[in-house]
Amino acid sequence: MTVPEEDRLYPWFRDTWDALVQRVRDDRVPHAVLLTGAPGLGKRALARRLAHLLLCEASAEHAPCGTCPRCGLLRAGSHPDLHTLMPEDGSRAIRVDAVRALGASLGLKSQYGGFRVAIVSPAERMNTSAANSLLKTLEEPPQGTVLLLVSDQPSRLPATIRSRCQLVPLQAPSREAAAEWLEAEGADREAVELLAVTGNAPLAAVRLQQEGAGSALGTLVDQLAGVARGQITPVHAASQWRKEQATLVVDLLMAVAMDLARTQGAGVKPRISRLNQLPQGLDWEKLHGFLDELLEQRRLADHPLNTQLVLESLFIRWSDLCPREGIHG
Amino acid sequence: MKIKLQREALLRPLQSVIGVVERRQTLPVLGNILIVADDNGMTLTATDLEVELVAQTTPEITEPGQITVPARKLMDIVRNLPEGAEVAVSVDGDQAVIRAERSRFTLATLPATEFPTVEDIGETRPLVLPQRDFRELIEKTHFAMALQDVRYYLNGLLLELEPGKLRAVATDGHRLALGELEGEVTAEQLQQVIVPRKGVQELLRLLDDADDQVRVELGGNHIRVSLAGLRFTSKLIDGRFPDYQRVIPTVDDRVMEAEREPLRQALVRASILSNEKYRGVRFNLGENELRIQSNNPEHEQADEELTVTYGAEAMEIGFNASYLLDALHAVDGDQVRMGLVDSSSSTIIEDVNDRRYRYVVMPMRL
Repeated sequence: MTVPEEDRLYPWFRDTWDALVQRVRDDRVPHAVLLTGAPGLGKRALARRLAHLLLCEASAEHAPCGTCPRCGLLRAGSHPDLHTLMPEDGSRAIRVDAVRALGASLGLKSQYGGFRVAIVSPAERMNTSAANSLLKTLEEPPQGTVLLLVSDQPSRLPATIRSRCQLVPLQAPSREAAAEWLEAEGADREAVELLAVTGNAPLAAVRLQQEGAGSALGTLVDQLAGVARGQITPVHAASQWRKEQATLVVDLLMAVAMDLARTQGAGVKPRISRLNQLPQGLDWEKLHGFLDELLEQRRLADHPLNTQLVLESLFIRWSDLCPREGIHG
Repeated sequence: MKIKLQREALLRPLQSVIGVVERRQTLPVLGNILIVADDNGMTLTATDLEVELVAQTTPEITEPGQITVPARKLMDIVRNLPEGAEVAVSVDGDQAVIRAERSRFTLATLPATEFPTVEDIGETRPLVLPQRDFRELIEKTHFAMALQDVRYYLNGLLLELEPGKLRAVATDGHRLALGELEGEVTAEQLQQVIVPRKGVQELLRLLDDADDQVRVELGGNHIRVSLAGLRFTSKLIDGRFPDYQRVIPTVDDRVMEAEREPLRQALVRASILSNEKYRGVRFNLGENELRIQSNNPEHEQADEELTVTYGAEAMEIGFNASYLLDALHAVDGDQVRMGLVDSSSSTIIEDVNDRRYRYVVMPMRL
């Protein structure tokens, strides 16, 4: 499937977009907006679209025109009144120097006499000093500036930042809508299945699928089944994954465990097609204990823990969870 | 696009605009130079999104067009061509071809539509004044600008238009420099703009000590200065400059007059033994006498005596020597006047015979 256009309007944002456009038309654009929602929804595309709408010359329309000279500059990424703050290459954090530089350029008047827009994404990547430095701008923004913060973990932002932004929470589409959209875009069947992993976030599903998560999910379900039957050891299962796949495996395990909990608790059809290979009738409390453990691991994803050990412990947890069928584990 | 011109006709405009092309830029197109060839000749544009420079030249144009090419590479190529060579520039697909004598270069290009230019700065009342005067106005005031102050409106030079006058003011909160230029200013009402530091420095680089006229335009968001063959545009700082009139003291009794050069030299010597960070020096004023003292944490001490003209009551006041030296450096005349109020109020420094430039320095508690 094609690479998403950077300021494209995804159908699941239509209502939010209409509301934002209305605010622009009413001349009530907030000075700071915090767009939040799950990863892979297209939040940044929405922020860009809003920025483009504000900076487009023919801005009376419902969408940026895409044809005026300003839109040309926006497409090329060289519009002088649009600033984008992202972690620099090879760095995970948005540093204070970058935020200070942004403050300095917002202190200058706009090139084309309209809005000055800054997109900070992912906003939670600002380190403490960077966030504090941004507060200065958030507290007293020069007239005609709009700050667009994008975050999938707004809880990691300082409360002082959150409270100074207009919050726009973005919801994932329903599973049906997401699947429909993926099919219309010509995405792989695997991507649709991966919606279960991404919490129905369609772009995240596409990304995962392109990273080969579809087959990884198959492998993982096989491993889980094998471990449950005592055919393979947790240590062996863990050794099959590479270091950089750890986060993915934790996410996939999480999806599997959640789906198990769903099917077992509510008796609905599993979202992951091969889930029925796994043992049924698991201990309810232990399953939730497993989920807690996974959540905890995901929280520690950034830590340089030994991947092999982390995965081993998760597989061991899983094997403890499964009822023994006469085989001594 | 197809043009032909002498090496020098291309090199000179290139050299005058290359200064604003930053070595390390986040956007590739900012490392390029915009070349536009049309009925009006050819322009070369460079920008760092804050300052824009446009240079003009007149080549032989066989086919008009516009394109952007890597600035430094083009500059290096043209500079190293033999003198007097005829250079031909043409665009072929997404590449620019440069030919001169038996050399041929192919440069990567980016479309001109990706290059952010400042076309129109809005309606302005242009101001025409001698280059030398404008340069002097900036030169004698710009040093008092703040450097990376959080009060971002101080990191620039205030230009103020009022009927018959152009005024420049810079301050960093500790000292202030004010200069006035009388001339035909057709402002109907007071107009203030703050030119950012970078723009001020670039302007100083461009302005010559020459008699010809420059055209200054103040727009809502930009200042534009047109020189012969070159146009400078800078964004303005968005903010209100503090009311500087309130900090300029009016003094009539405690006035000290001194010869500038001896005072300056005494200050330079005294500041050697002042605290390296705060550079504090103490002024003791008595009947026609000034003593300048300084000491540092190592208990070393400097003592200077100077004969001055002073008739009011004796007083003592501390200053940062650097601020005084900056002001004394900017004054041209041989005699300077210092107007003092008391040991905790700022002092005003000016040329005895030229009151267009005034400097205010805050005292220091020693």
